[in-house]
Amino acid sequence: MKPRYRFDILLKHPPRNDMAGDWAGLDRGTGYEFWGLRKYLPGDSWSRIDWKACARSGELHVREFLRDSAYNLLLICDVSRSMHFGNKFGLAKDLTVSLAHAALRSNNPCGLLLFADKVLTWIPPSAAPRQFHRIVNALQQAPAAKNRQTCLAPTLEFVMKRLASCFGVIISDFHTDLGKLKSLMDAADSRFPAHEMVALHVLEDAEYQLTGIDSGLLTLQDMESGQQTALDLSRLDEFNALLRRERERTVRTLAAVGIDSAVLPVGATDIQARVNTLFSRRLAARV
Amino acid sequence: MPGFELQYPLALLLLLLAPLFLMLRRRTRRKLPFPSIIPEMANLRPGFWKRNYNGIFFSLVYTCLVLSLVNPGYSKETVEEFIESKWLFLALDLSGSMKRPVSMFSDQTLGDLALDGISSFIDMRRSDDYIGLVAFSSYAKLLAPLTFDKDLLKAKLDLVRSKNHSRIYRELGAGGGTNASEAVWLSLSAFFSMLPEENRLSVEQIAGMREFLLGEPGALLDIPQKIRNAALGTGMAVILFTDGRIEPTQRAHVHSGALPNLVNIITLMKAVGVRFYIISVGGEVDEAVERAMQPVTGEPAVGRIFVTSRGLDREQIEEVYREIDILETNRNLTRITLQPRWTRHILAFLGFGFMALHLLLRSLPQLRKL
Repeated sequence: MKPRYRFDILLKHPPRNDMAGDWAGLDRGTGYEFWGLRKYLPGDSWSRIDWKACARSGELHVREFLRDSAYNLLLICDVSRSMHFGNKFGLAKDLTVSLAHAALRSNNPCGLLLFADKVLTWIPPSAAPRQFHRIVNALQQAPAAKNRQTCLAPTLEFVMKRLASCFGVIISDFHTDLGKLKSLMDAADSRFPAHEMVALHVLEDAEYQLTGIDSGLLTLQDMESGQQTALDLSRLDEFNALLRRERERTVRTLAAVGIDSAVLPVGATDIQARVNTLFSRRLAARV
Repeated sequence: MPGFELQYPLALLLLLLAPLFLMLRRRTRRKLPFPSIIPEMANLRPGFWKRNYNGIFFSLVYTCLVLSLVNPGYSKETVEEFIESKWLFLALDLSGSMKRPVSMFSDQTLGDLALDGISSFIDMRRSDDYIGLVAFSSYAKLLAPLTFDKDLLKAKLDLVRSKNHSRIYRELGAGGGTNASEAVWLSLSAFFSMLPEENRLSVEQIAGMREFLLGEPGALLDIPQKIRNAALGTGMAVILFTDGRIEPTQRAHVHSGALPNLVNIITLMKAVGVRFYIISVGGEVDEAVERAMQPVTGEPAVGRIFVTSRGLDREQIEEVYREIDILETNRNLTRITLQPRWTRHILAFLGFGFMALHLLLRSLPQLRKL
C-alpha cells in the first residue's frame, strides 16, 4: 500500500526522549540541534538570524538546525461504527499510512493504536523495517467494533500508561464525550509535555455540510447510539449551521486540552496541505 | 341512528392489528445512518403534521377498509301520509225479479233503481278508490274489474239498464236464480288476483281454495299462506244488492255441491278481513247467513245486512249507500318505511380516497420522505 500523501511531521515541543540528542536526523529542519549557517533568504524568520556571523561577514546569515528526530509517533485511529460512514475510514487509512511512512522514512519509531469503545489493536512504536507492513496489515484487518460507542479518554489513558512520551496523532471523527479529556490532559499542560497530541478531524462531506437537497423529510439514525430523529430539510440552513457549530465546539474543546486539530472533509482536495499546515502552524506557535 | 347494525361484526377484530402494523411501519421505515445525532437536532424536527401524516393516513385508510368489511348499516325511516284507497266490489242482482217496475206508474224497474243507487255511490267515493262491478242471476259475470275510472264504471252500469236491452242484460235476466255466493266469490277472486306479485294466487290456487268453499259450513278453512302474509282485507269490501233470498247455496245445488257455500265465504272474509254488506230488498236472508254475519265476541263485525221493504224508492237506496259510504270511510294512514342502507361502498370509496390523497401528499416536495 503506497502512501497517498507526503507529510512533513513537525513537533511543536522537543521530544522527551533520553536518546533524542543521539539520534541525528537525516534532514535539515526545525530541530534544536545546530546544523550550520547559510545566507539569509527572503521569508526566513528574523529570529533565526545569526547576528555574530552577520557582524563577521557583513551579510545576513541564518542558523539551520537538524530536524527533530527520535520521537515516538503514535497513530491513534478510530475504527468505531461512525467512522464507517461514507469514505471516512478510507481517508483515515490513507492518513495513517502516509504518516507512518513519513515517520519511518526518517527512522522514527511509529506505532498504531486502533480504538472504538476500548483499545482494539495495539502495535507499540518501533522503527523496525517491518513496522510499516505491520501497520498496513493491522489497518486492513481492522476489527469491527462490537460496541457502538466511541471512547477516547480510556484510549489516551492507555497510551499514557504504556508510553512515557510520544507524539500522538488522533485520527477520528470525535463523536465522543470530549469533556473527560480535560482531567486527563492536565498533565500535558506543562511547557514540554511528554505526550504531544494532534487531532485530525475526519468528516464525511454530508457531515461537514449537507447540500443538494432543499426540501423533504429525512429520518436520521445515529450509527452509534441507534437514536433516531426526523429532519425537516426545508430547514437545511439551520442544520448546516448546527453542524458547523458542533465542529467548532469540538475544535475548541480539543484546543482547550492542548490538542491542536485540523478538520479534514473527505471530499477535500488539499488534505496534504491542510495537515502540513497544521504541523507548520504549531511549529510557528512554538514558544 | 335507527336500526344500526353490522353485517360482519367480527371483522372489527382486524382493528386490533392496526397498532402492530403501525409499529412495523415505524421499524421498517427508511432511515439514513448518520455518524452522530446531537441533542440540538431535536429543534429541527418537522412539525406534528409532517412527522405523523403518514401514520394518520395509514390509520384512516386501514380503518375505512376494515369498516367496509364490517359493513355497518342503518335504516332510513320514511314517513308517508296518505288517504286510504278502498277496494270495493258492487255485486248487483239482475235476475228476472229485478225487472219488475217500481210502481204501476213508472217505467223504471227495481234493477234501474239499484243502478241509480250504485251510480250515486260511485259518485260519493274518492277518485282513487278502486271499484269493481259484478252482475249476477243464476251465474255471476264480471262487468268491470277493479278500476278508478268512474266513467267506465258508469258506462258498464248503463250496459245493464233495462232500457238498453243489452246482450248481457238479456242473458242475466233469463236466469231466475239468485246466485249470491258465486257473485261474492267472483269479487273475492278479483281481489286475490289484484294483490302484489309476491302475494298473488295462481289460477290453480284460487281454484283449490274454491274447492274448500264448496263443503258444508264449519269445514276446516285452509287459507294459503300468501293471502295471510298479504295482510289482505284492510279497506276491502263487497256490497251485495239483491231482492232474492240469501241462502248459503242454491237449492238446486245442495246435493251436487257445485257452488261455494256463502257461509264459508263469509267465514273466509272474516278470516282475511274483507267486509261484506248485504242490501236485501224484502229481507229474505237465511238464518245460517245471518248467524255467520253476527260478530264473534271480541272480533269486529264482518259487515252488515241492510233490509229494505219491497216498495223501496230511490231515496231509500241512496240512503243505504250513504250509510255504507260512511261505514267505509277512507282513513288517513301513515306509512313508515324503514329502508336498509349499507355503507360498505361509501367506506371503501372513502378509504381509497384517503389512499389517493396520501399518495398525492407524499409526492409533494415539502412532504416527501427521503
